[in-house]
Amino acid sequence: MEDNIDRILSGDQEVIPSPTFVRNVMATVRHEASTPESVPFPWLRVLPGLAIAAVGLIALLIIAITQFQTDVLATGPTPRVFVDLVRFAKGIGFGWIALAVFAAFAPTRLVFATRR
Amino acid sequence: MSTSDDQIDVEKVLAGDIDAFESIVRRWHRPLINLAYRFCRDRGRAEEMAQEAFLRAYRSLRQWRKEAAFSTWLFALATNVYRSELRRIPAKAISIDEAREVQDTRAAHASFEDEDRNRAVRELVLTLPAKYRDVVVLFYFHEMDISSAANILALPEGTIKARLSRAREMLRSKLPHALNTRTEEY
Repeated sequence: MEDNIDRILSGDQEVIPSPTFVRNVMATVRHEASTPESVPFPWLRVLPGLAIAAVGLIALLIIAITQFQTDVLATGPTPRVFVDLVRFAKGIGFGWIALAVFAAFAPTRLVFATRR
Repeated sequence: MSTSDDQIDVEKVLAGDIDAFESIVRRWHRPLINLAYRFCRDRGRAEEMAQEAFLRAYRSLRQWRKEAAFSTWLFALATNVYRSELRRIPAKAISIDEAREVQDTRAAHASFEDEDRNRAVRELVLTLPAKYRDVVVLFYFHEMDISSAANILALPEGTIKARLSRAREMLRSKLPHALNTRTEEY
């Protein structure tokens, strides 16, 4: 029984490659070789900026929480806390910073991702 | 076709002589296309898959560590390419119901042609779960050599044997008539 399966599966026909196969492969390889290697994303250069942004965000969060707790202890949870938070964020230009980081990072990442 | 020929050509390619890659392609294109064919049973697609395998091989020639034979490295790389391709677009194989239908009709007329039966069995291999299909394809492609299949799939020989045995059981259960009768002929 096993011989039957063995005979059928080992006696498979041989496929003859088309005459242009080697030429096609070499054309693709030569094209590949002539294409400049994609530049890897410069993580080392970006990393300090990302680290600073992360520290900034964490600091902002800590300040916000601290201010929230102070306000809650002093006056109870009122919408004023959130108004202050928004004012503070506006004061330091958080929206613009976030937009600038996104505008610089996202397209660059996209370009490098599509190049690979 | 020796290991040193491959090694010399690989070193030439790595030194910038792209034409040396043509010798590698000429040496290995037949086996790579035939292996691809056994994974998809479509000549055109087999050539496309083999071409992709050669391109990947060219890109990652530096990763060949020379501890294993070049052929083992190349077949392992090609097998990975073929498996990924088949995950993306599965091979169009005969369904189990179709195979049974063919088998029943032919058996009823007592004229189950050998060639049709063989084709049905080979196509049924493609309907096996991938881990069994891969073992069956590589084992029979390498003339029933367990260690070659084990090296290429980076699996222990025991695992290959176990999967092979399970795959055979599955094939037998799918086409009992074709595989369980007429044994005396062989």
